[in-house]
Amino acid sequence: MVDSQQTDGNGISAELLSRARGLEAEIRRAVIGQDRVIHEVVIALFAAGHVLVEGVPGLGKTLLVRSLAAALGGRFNRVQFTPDLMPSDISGHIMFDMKSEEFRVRRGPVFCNFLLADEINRAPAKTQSALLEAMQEQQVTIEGRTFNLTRPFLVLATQNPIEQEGTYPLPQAQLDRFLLKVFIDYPGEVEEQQMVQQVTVGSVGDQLDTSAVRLLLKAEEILPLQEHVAALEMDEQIINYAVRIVRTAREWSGIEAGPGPRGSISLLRAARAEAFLQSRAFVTPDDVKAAATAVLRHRIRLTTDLEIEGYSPDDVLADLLDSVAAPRT
Amino acid sequence: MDLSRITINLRPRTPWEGADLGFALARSEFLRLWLLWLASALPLYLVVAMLFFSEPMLVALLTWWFKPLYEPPLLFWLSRRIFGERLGFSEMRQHWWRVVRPQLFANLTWRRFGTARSFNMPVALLEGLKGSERRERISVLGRGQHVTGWLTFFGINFEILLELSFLVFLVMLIPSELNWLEMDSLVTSGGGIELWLQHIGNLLAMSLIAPFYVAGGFAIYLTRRSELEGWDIEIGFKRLAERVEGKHPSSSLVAGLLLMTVGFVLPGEPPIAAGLPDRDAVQQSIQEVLKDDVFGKREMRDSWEYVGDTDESAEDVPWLLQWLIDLFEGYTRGMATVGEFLLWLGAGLIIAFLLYRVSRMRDWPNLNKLPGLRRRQPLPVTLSGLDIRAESLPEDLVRQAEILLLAGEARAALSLLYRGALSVLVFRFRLQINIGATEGECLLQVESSQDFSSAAFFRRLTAAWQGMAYGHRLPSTGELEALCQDWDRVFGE
Repeated sequence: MVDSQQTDGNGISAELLSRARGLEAEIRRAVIGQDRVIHEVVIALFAAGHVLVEGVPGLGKTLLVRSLAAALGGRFNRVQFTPDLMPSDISGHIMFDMKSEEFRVRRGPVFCNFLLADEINRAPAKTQSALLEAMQEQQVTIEGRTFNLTRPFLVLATQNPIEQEGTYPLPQAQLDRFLLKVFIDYPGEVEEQQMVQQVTVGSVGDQLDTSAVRLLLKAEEILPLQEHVAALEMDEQIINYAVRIVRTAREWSGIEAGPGPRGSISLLRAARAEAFLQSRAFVTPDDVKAAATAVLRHRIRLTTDLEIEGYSPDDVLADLLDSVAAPRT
Repeated sequence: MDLSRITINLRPRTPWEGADLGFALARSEFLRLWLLWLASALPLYLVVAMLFFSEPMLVALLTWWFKPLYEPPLLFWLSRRIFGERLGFSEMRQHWWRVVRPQLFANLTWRRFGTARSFNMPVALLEGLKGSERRERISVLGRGQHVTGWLTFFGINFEILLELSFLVFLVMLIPSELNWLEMDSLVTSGGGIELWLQHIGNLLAMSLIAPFYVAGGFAIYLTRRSELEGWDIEIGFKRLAERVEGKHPSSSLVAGLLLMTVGFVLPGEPPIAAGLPDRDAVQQSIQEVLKDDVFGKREMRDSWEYVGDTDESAEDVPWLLQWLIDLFEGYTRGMATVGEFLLWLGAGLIIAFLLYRVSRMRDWPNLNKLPGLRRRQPLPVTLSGLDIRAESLPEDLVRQAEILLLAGEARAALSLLYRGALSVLVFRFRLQINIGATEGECLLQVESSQDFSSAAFFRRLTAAWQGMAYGHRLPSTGELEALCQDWDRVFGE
């Protein structure tokens, strides 16, 4: 990418910006071989979005969120979604305290900064929607009382691509609430060897070790950074480019259902965060293109014949992005 | 060969009927023939598979190639069977090498692709002929026996069908949840379990077809010999003689005469009658026989035969009739020409449609991605609405940019420099820039290009262009002047 001007932000110190841009490198100290996933999760963090991660178990999803929480000093919670999980198990409930003889609110795991919703598609739709509403509204209602969630609030929901039996696949409308869908894949041989060595040498059991990650940012410092990212300069051509990509996706022959306007909005939000991580004060078409696959892959549904032929949304999006003319005038 | 012991009904047959007789024979003795074929083929397959385990294609080829090794035992067994003898497996094992060996090298080399293998096999194996004798014998026997070629043709096709059916059957038996085996990979896979399953299917198909192929060829051979040598007549007469001699010693004159005739026709056989009657008496007897109602009937049959053009001149035809004939002929010829034209047009359209469909196929190899062909693609004239043709650019691009710079139109100057750089990269350095390529991707292409060494300048130019186009940040005048000078150095002629 093209180096460009450093910015001092809108009232944000250059030192804070520098620390924010070092977040990826910090997480990489604990999570090895998943650079792409780390990059995309950090984009979601600065774009104030949520991430749906798809990958088989044991690839370091929990470690990733723990490391993120460690680097940001936020509160981390994990919920394992199961078929009998109730909405109140996530949001919380009101209980009668016998000692004080009054009702007391018991807050659920959703009250945190970083929530790992493991295997979200194993819970029924009612429970899923409880979380997805919390993601969207950034607030939770318990017995008629509304509680705001602590910001920053990042949900990292995971799905297992295999063992689909007995699951409740997320409907398109729910998927749309995730800013990005990220694929977590097996690491390369060298990275895996390095990771195994790091995890096994001098550690007891298979506890996740995030001690290598230093506290880089405080949770409260994230909000101004998110505001800074949202205020990055964006030329009209860039907006036009993102809209053209999304509109082309709606009319693309291999796509049965294309993304809605929220797709364009999400694409530009992610592109801004990408530009920020590239140390740029403005967004370029490269940022849009770099973010497009992760933003759009869960917002499109392929036609049956393409699915039968084994094409993935990524293949179709790659073709699509090659055919949409980039702005250069 | 004692024809009286033959167990099949020999009668004049067409070659097709002969093949049918062979199939009936194969059906009635299928299990034995099948096991006999497997007894030869399976050990060889296993040996070849062990020797060339890592080369499944070679194993399949060798198993197929050695077919002439497995077929002679079947023929030998059949040749005994039609005379009522059923050889056991132990006897066949004793005879095996003696049966397989004759002319084996020739059968496995230059005769391997002969289309009448099963028909020619009896000549070498049963008659023991070789060299020129064999050739002459086959040329006599094979006259008009095109069915033998068809037998091979159908055999090949049925083998392929059976093999495919076996594979489809396998795939159908696998539950869709356990979709570890796909039809595509079964047919096209280059290795692994799919190829070995193909081999089993192939072996199975060959073993099922071989009894019919060998028996079919043999029966055509028998039919042909029967036709040439009158075996059916010989057998008929022999049976007649047995009946006459055994049951009716005072036979009629006709039967006696006929038996005598047989004695002449079949050399090598013992004379049936002791003495020869007078020639005139025979003639008289024949005349008497012919006077009988059975032989005395006369039939007249009419048929059409083409005798060529007649020499009738047109002068004999009235001019009006001739005119009408010409008109009609012209009309039919014209219609035929139109029909032919439409036929060719239809064929052309079908071919064009098929080519179009093939070109639209997603799995069709993308020739554009081949390195050798990449440079042959037509070069773009516009990139995202930016005209990059050399004609659209001023002759002295740098001078023009400097003029724009002096006039305070820095944006236009930088745009011109970037556009010119793209034009040079596309047309002079033949860089294949996609319509959807962003500035960053253009830069990556330039940096990875071996033809262009001044990537550092293009990086600077791109950064300045991006800052201005998307960040609305104009470079300083000094920076712009430096870009103009360096542009001339890097891209100037």
